Amino acid sequence: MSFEELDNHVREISSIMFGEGYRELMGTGSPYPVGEELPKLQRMCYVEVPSLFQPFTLTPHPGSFDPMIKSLQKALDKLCYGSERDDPIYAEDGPYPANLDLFKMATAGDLIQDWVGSAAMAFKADFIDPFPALASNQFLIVSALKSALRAEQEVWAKMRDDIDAVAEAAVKCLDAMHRTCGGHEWRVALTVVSAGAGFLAAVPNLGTAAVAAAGAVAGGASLVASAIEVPEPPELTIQGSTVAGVFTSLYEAVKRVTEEVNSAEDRIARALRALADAVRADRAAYVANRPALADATARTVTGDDYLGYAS
Amino acid sequence: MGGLAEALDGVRVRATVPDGSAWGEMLGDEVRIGFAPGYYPAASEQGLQETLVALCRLLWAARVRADQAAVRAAGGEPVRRERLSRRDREYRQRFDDLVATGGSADGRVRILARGLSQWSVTADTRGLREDEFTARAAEAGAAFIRDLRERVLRLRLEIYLSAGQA
Repeated sequence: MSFEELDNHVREISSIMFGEGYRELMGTGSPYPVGEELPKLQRMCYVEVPSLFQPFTLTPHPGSFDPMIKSLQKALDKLCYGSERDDPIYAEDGPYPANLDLFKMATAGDLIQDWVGSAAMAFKADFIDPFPALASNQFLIVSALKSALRAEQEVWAKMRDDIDAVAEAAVKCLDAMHRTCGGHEWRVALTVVSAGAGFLAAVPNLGTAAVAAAGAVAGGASLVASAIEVPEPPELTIQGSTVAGVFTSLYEAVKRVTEEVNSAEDRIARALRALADAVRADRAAYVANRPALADATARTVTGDDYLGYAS
Repeated sequence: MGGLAEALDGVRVRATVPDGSAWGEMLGDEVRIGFAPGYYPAASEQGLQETLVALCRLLWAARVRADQAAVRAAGGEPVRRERLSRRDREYRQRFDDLVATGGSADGRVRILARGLSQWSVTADTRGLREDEFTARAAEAGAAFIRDLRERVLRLRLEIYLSAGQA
């Protein structure tokens, strides 16, 4: 089965459920329960079952994240200094080509070698020297944002696998229910729980790595975010000895998939908030200060506040 | 009807009694039986009945194994012991006492089983050629399977739909 066929699977569940339910009604041997129960059975099979699955058909297509991911990969191309070419989180997304434009800053450092004075020293210390570290940290942060998109993509892809597995288990359970004498169960491990595990494991360390890389700028402040734990994938069981029993089991399973999708989304959101907090806490490690010279005018640029000590 | 339903409906099993005197085959609700050449004319009614009981046991065991194999191949398994509900236990208990019967239309062959563990077969072979007898035995087998299905369904409904759901 595949998610693209979910509508077909749901129709299959409805149809088999109705067939087996009708068999059960006939098994009661009384025309009265049949008359009373048949409309309920029809409603359960052809209204409630499709309603259970309907929200999943409205979820984002995992492929819809690709353009955004590609866009951030282009940003990573621009931020790659060459010393770290691999993707820090999703190795398969790298390596990235070094951006030669970034080396112009090193050239600028050579060009101002003859410039002396406190402004010159400050300019070198505040802008030229930390530039590689800042670019590297931004590379890290953009990689983390891209990984967040990958994590989102995984949530929806794994949700599709899970809901499809649940639907398939329900069909099989209904198939076997009255064809065998004993009771059977189908176990479904929810994979959506592990969506974005790589991202969630890496994010708490990103702040620390960035500070280490830009130690001179950030002064070694700690950005350690608390680890976001990914629980073990829960295992659902689809079973039932009657159509109503299988429906209850199916209802609980679908509800659990929804809960786990929400939890996975929440973990990604917490990681992103931790990342944003890390950047806010050590902004200087990620964002270059605005050069004071940027505020100079032609009249003031050679004054004491700007290039006053230039030779 | 899904793939597992088709697989279960298509389960075909065959069994032969240890001394090779009789064989049987089941496909869905259909049953066929046959005897080794020379066995039927020489067999006593008592001996024939015992042979048919042995055949029923073997056929049903083969059927249960084949059904389980089809379910396992489809990713299913018997409900784990720790997950058995009070109703599941009650069902199992009542199933062990469930009596199913099936006979040929003329009543010459009759099969009875309690809990699918205690079997008995009554056979009246008087004046029946081998092919006439095996046809009646097959008829009784098919009737037995239909009766069993009906009784199992009723038992399920009685237990699981009595109050609330299972």
